[in-house]
Amino acid sequence: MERELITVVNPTAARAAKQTELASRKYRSLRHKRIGLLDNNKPNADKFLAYVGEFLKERYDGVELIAKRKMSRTKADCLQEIHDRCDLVINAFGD
Amino acid sequence: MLAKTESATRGMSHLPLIRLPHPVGSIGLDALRLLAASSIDAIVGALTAAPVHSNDAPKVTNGSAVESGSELAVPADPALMFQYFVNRGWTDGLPVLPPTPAALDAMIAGSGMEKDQTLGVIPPVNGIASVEKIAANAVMAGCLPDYFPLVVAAVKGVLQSGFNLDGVQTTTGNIAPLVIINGPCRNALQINYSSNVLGQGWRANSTIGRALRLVLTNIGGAIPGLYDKATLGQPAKYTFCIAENEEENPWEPLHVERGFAVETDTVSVLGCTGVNSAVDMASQTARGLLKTFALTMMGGLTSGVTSTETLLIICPEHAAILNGAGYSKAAIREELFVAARVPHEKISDENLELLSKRRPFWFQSNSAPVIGVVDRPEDIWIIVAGGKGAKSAYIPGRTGTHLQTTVVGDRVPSGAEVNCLCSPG
Repeated sequence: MERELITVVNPTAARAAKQTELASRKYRSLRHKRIGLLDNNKPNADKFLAYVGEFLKERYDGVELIAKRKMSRTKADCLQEIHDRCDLVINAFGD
Repeated sequence: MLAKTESATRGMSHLPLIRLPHPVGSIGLDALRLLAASSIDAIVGALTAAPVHSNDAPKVTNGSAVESGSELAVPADPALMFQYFVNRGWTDGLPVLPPTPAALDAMIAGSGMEKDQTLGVIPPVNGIASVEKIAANAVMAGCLPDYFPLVVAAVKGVLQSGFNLDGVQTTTGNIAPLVIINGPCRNALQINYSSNVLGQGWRANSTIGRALRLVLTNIGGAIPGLYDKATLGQPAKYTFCIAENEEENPWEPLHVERGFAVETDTVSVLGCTGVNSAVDMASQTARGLLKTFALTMMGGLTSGVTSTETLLIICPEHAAILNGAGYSKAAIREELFVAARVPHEKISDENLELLSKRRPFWFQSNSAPVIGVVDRPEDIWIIVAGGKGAKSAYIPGRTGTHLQTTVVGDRVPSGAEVNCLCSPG
């Protein structure tokens, strides 16, 4: 019996291939840029992003920070606001 | 790793990611500031670097996705076959039945579905949930073909956006999907809703819940430690499937409350943490029982991570007392919503700060210094289940996951023996 084989169907599946064109990051400097800080509501995420924002403002003139908060998923209206108001976004992920 | 996989499965394999060393959430402000200072160059670099335009399909491998579409020749010897599957990460650690083409055909035959039909994609790796692959996992789990429409309904449920499967699959929390079955199929398929309903011993409950787990692992790629990041996990991640004791439920059963006819078979799913016993053999009044339930629920509010929805499983004896005192489900909810509130002084300052952001409702200027276990009475789901005895249970849900109810597709009885009572008689 040890050498006998049977045919089974692999229980894992092919993965859906998705292609998304990343938004163009066209800025070589962050001067006068509107930078979104998207807090994922995990402990310290907002504070970490606030420090990052503070350092960016120190480094570059005219940086505008737009802080937003989300839970597990970013809601459509929040995404739209980020899209409309921000040149670049820093998104907290995980933890 | 998870962030990389998530971005790749969304077709953004070149999304710039800056990895911070764990932990971040529990370090002090000075350390956090230092971390930000040491990351700032990388963040600026990511924001200003020219993007890499990727036209490539996601290239994600986890060692188990090879040959995904193929039939395989595996050892016929059960122990060797089991080891073959274990080696590829295709089991929950327990023996599985061989998903042979004949067994798959039998599994699908009575469901009226085609094997290449797909229900959607399962995160985190976006595995395509075809009827064939779901059936393979149902066979492995030990399901009878008659159970298959219920497994399919459970998969449909977790794929609803309100269930937040991405979160359930990858969280560090100890979340398991609970399957709740309503309707006439409970008796037709011998699905346990009475004694030991949350326990072992019933083929339908054990294998339907297990099939969902195997689907989530094998199709969704939620491999423990790799993409399933649960810190502890819980035993319910093997299988977590119950039916409602509609026969001893003095109120409307869950599926009726959800808008379905009592004779409709449904499967509801909720992302849950562990089972908290609400033992009360002493109270003979509704007021007494509700105090016990509220106390049990308050034990679930122990940190800044709190529930969106919760489930109360009321045993028939407790249900009879509450109903006898004139309580409807709505009245129970209202009373528990008011009673299950934790004073601020019982909660750490750090968690209070976190809760003030996550649940600002409880921190308005004129609010009492308490936090409710739930934000609304309707976030307390109530079902009746279990056998004799005075033991109910409270199960907190996961933040951001909402109960989903789907209708079970038509079943053509296979004629298989479904009498699987494990107790004598």
